[in-house]
Amino acid sequence: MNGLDFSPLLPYAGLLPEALKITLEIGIAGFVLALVIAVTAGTLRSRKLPGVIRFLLSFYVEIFRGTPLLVQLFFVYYGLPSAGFRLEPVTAAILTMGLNSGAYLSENVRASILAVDKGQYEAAHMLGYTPLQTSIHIVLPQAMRIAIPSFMNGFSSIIKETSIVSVLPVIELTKLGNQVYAKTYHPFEIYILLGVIYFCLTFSLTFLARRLERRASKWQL
Amino acid sequence: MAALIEMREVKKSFGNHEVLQGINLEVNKGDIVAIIGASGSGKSTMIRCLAGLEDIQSGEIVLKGQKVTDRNSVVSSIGMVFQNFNLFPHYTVEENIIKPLCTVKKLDRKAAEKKAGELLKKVRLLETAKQYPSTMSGGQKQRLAIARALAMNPEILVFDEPTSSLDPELAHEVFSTIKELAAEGQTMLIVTHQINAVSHFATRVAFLDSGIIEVDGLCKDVFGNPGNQKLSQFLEMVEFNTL
Repeated sequence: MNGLDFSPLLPYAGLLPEALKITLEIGIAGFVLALVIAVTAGTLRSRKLPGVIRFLLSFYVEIFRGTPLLVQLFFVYYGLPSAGFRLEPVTAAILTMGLNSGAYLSENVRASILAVDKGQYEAAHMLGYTPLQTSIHIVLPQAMRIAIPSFMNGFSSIIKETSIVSVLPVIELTKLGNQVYAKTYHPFEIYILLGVIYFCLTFSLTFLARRLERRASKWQL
Repeated sequence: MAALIEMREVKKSFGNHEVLQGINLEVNKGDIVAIIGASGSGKSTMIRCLAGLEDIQSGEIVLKGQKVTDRNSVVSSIGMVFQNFNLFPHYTVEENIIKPLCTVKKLDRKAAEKKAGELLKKVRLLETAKQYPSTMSGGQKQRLAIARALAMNPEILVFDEPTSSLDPELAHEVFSTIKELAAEGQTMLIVTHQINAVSHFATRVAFLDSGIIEVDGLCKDVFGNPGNQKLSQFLEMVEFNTL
């Protein structure tokens, strides 16, 4: 193998910001959607619910945890139009990422809620909090603190999993890499560069997560 | 005049084990009832049933002449101080009082802050107002728990072994605070093993054994002349008269 030569890639450098923007757009919007789903589904699943709702929530979680992300993505982008729902590739990617990660993270939220001490519920009850007020003001803030590390893992995973979106007609980072490879035949340099970019993104998230955890640790459970 | 709260033939079981076997207790305004008994005698279960934290199997609880049918209905009349404090760790000391006042009593923030300041001063914690509970000693935590319960203006304050997880000097701090409340006429039920401490301010003593109130009488009578053999044995044990 000859030495590393990144110079053939330089003409395509101008395409990188747009691809990076789409990757982050899918990653961040997918994560926000996942958070909303996870907190809602996780909170509901930690409570006593009517059988139908419990079944529907379990069904959602098990389906999205038990099938490949790629299949889910194909289903949302190529399958749903048959049912009359046509989505833009980025929207389909965000929806799929959100639903997939939401299913995983909802289990973390549920476990975090169950980890909150029973005495907290009793104290809130004796002070006159309603069950809903107890959830919102007392339990969820403590559960979220417990769940921060798993949320950050989830965010990091979503950023990496955005590379799967390269199978759709949208030019995010991996798709850009594939296209540049097809034109330059420099796979070694291209995929090293891609790896470095993904690593920088996830590493900065890890850094952010540590800061968040430190901020949250001004109070101890 | 009707009692403030009454338990009539209250029974409570966990599985096949009947923890309360027919409790009868009457608490009047201003009473300070020390509830004593060996571990497993049903003291904590009794006050948890009274406070609506446990369902009862039979019997009834009557609050100001009205039979309690909904566990939630006693909440506005009873404040509870727990053995493990159960403070809200994500709130600062003052927020532990302010937030419930704003959320439950719908007080505006300013009024809640004023009340929190008064209560923290009362329990000598004003200087810790901006700290988080995790930075406090056990005695301070329990005094904060008392202030938080008082903030909701309960007619009856119930203590579930408030000092059993504290060192003696910290327990002393907590009992000093409880004694001050006693002097103000606060109606209280205190489950405790610290008989010497409660004897300074309790008006009545209820001695539980195997889920039954064996003795219920004035403090000076019960401690002065126990009469009941089980109570005498229990007092000898907790006061280390025999070893």
